[in-house]
Amino acid sequence: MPGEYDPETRQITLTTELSDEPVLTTAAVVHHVVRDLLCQQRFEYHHLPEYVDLAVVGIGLGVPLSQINLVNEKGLFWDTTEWETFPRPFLDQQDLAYALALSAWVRGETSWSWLDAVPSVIKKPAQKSLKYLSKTNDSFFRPQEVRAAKLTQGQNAWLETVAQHSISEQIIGLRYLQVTSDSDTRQLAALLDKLRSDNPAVLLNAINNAGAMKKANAGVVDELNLLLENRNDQIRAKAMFALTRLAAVDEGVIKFAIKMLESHSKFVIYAGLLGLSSVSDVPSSVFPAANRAFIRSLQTCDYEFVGLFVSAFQQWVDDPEIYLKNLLQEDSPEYFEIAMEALTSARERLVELSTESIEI
Amino acid sequence: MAFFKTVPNLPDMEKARIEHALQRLADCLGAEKFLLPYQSLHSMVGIFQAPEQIVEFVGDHLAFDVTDIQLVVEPQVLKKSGGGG
Repeated sequence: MPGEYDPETRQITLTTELSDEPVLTTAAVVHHVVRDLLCQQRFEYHHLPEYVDLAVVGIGLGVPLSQINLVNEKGLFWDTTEWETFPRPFLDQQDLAYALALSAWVRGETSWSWLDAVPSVIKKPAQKSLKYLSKTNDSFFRPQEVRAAKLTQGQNAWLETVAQHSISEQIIGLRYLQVTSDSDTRQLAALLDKLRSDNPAVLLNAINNAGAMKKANAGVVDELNLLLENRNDQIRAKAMFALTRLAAVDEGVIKFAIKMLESHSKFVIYAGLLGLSSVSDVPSSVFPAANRAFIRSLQTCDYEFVGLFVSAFQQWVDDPEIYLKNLLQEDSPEYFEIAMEALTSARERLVELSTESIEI
Repeated sequence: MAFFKTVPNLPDMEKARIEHALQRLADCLGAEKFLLPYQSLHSMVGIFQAPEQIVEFVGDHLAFDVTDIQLVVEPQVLKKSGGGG
């Protein structure tokens, strides 16, 4: 969005002229004034352009946005549950279309007169979603019904949210449901139920919730183990992360982690390696797959993975230097130097960590 | 039996993400702001002579005091690529 806004001085600096660029300049002024409103209301994410865009659409000033497209490449992160870690730049066209549809639906809008100027690339998907919303009422966002702050509601309300038929409600409910102890059977039962969901988005959020538990629960661990066999890469990887966090990587999990090292997806390899790195005493069956994956990372110059594998070897074998020398000397001696550098870095990190823990 | 199932234009996760973000905004600004009348393109573009008028228009729409907002216009001059001579 052209121009900028300074929260300290409340100054908007425009870099386009209204006479030359009427739509773009109008959209920019609206964007910056709404950002100012969010700043004055101390909205935590006022600095994120996508949130400002959504606010603009939500409060009824979003039509000029449909005339400009600021997002060509989304650059999506593999983990679709990470909504805060990798914020988007601006609203893309599909998200804008859905936000416009929601805005129409919450206002009980049946005529599309205010959308006349919206280009068909946005109008068509917006109409599709409005038809869906009008038929199903499937939305977590309902300002027309719920006027009170909704995200600070109590755990009983979140339990009800998770139990709704709406997939959106289930997903968002799972992000707020706190399953804290084995004795809390209602919350635990709800989580176990969602860990058996056939909807991938619900499953992924249920896995996140399970991984955030302070103490592993046998039933939850059993469900996560079953998910290691899922055909969806993201679900398998997330289940492995959760089991690792819960310190529940056992012999059975290790077998799946070994298979993950052979994957073509980096995040699946990472999940497998993370699971295996959480155990200090791995079976010998781990080494052939780990060696192959390590050499692949050397061949593709993926130094992040080289470092991760070397750290893992350091944990698994008594003398990692000799181990790496034996591994590389016959077929890949040219990589020995890089492996040694990675080993030195891994050792330095270990020293830094132990120094920090002593200081604490 | 339903032959044509209506579906939204976004996948489930993205749909929930947008709804969650809007709820977060509504929790901060108040739900009533998200029910204000929708403004058409013709009510926003082509009728204002100066950007200050747009600031006032947004302030009026939101019942939000915009008097302390400062507006500076510094148009960017596109640099022409250096041709010979």
